Amino acid sequence: MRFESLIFQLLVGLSTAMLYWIVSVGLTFTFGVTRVLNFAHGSFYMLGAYFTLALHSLTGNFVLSVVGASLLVGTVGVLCERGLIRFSYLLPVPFQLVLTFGLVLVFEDVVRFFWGTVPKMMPSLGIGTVKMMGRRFPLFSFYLIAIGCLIGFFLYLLINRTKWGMMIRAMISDYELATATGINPEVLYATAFFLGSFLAGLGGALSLPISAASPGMGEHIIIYSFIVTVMGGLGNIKGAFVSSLIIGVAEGIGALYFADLTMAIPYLVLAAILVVKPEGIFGEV
Amino acid sequence: MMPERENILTVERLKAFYGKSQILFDVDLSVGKGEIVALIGRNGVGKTTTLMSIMGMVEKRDCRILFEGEDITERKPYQIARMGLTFIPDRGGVFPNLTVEENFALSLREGYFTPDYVFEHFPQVRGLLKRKGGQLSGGERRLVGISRGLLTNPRLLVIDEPSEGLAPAIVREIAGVLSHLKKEGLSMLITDQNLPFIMALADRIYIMDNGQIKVSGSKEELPREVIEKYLAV
Ligand SMILES: Nc1ncnc2c1ncn2[C@@H]1O[C@H](COP(=O)(O)OP(=O)(O)O)[C@@H](O)[C@H]1O
Ligand SMILES: [Mg+2]
Repeated sequence: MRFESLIFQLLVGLSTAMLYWIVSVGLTFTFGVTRVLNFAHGSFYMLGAYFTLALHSLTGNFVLSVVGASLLVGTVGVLCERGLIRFSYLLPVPFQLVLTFGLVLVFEDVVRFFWGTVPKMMPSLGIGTVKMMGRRFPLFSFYLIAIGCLIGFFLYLLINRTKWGMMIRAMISDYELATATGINPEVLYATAFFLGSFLAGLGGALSLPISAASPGMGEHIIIYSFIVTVMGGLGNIKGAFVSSLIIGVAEGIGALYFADLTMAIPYLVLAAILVVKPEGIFGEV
Repeated sequence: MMPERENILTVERLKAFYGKSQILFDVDLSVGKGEIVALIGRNGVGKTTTLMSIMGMVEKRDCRILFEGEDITERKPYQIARMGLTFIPDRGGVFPNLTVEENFALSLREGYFTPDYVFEHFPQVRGLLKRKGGQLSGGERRLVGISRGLLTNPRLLVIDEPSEGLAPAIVREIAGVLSHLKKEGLSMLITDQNLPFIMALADRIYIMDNGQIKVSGSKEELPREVIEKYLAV
């Protein structure tokens, strides 16, 4: 195997890892705060892509469309949380799963209705490539890696250095004491959902230059997000980062050596890790 | 008859439920301004449930709770907390995954009790600022929990089992802290099972058994045997 191919696949792996990370950190964060595992998180990813396409055809500006679409998806997320999901917080888990799965079906039909079932490509952005070691590497992959790292840094600051983050951590560690300290949990649930859905939407938007938008894309990504989330430890942000890297890179490199197995690689990695550490890499029992 | 004392907290006919099972049966109690009131009784009689009902954390029916003359029966816990009714749960009242400093920052509300006040009167707290709440010893957690409660500048401090699980020397220290706060004019409602601790602190005592108040009165007028009978296992 040529060394450049290995580097190329590593880059591809790292950039898909960043997409997994952006989406799954949103999932694991909302789960950590609300304790509801939101199937519709994948639908938010899908909406992020379609909203970006729509905004892009209006404005012609990709960055603006990505930001606008993510904010819109964040808003959709809050509306779902305030309108439906919050009523399930005290219900048994199966009710929560049925509810959020219902949302998945609704959003898929909404997308089919407005955009049809044929996958939609983003018009080429002309981002281009860089030449290294005699091979062309897509620049967008580097952008993705940078964005993923920036988001990690931003989340770190938000959670560890702001009053909001402090309240979130307080509520996760002792709900009763948090309310007894005057913290309104409803505000935190809603804002946490905004952030989580925003990240899902952002992931969907950023997937466009790599793959077409289709009504099934949400299901594909939610499975990956579940794998990453479980592997990293439910609700654990650092875990989501590390697992995304592991899965993304394993897929990228694996494609070189076990091309027939690419579909199975994430599951095999997950299974291997859970055998060693059933609670996930950073999970607590 | 004693002259009518001004109450900061009045609980009338409190009935509390966990699901279908009723835990409290027509509990009446009051706390006067500047008073320390103790709610005592064995494990499982309903002390914690009473405090949590006052804080709006437990389902209750057909009752009325007044705080500083306002009806708080239907209010949510965070609204009650913001009115200046500060609850310190039996596990210590410190967020385990936040540093002590963050615990304070989260709780701080403007008023007489400032971080400087805390450092001046409980100097050992200063040395704990960088530690996580979960890494404190039982006594440290109590002290930090009470300091945290003070920084909310409460009108009424509600403390669940402040002496529970602490070594005798530390119990005396906590008693010292609370009686100092009483001298500052702070009103308190505490539950406990430690008789010397209660006798050192409380102005009035309510004795609870099976979810009901069995006896109540000032510390002086309650016969010691009666108190001991209800506390004995
Ligand atoms: N979350 C709960 N669900 C159901 N029953 C509870 C719960 N918490 C306490 N109880 C029951 O309520 C009664 C009173 O408990 P509690 O108020 O904690 O007593 P105390 O604080 O006096 O030890 C006990 O019989 C206990 O088993
Ligand atoms: Mg108790």
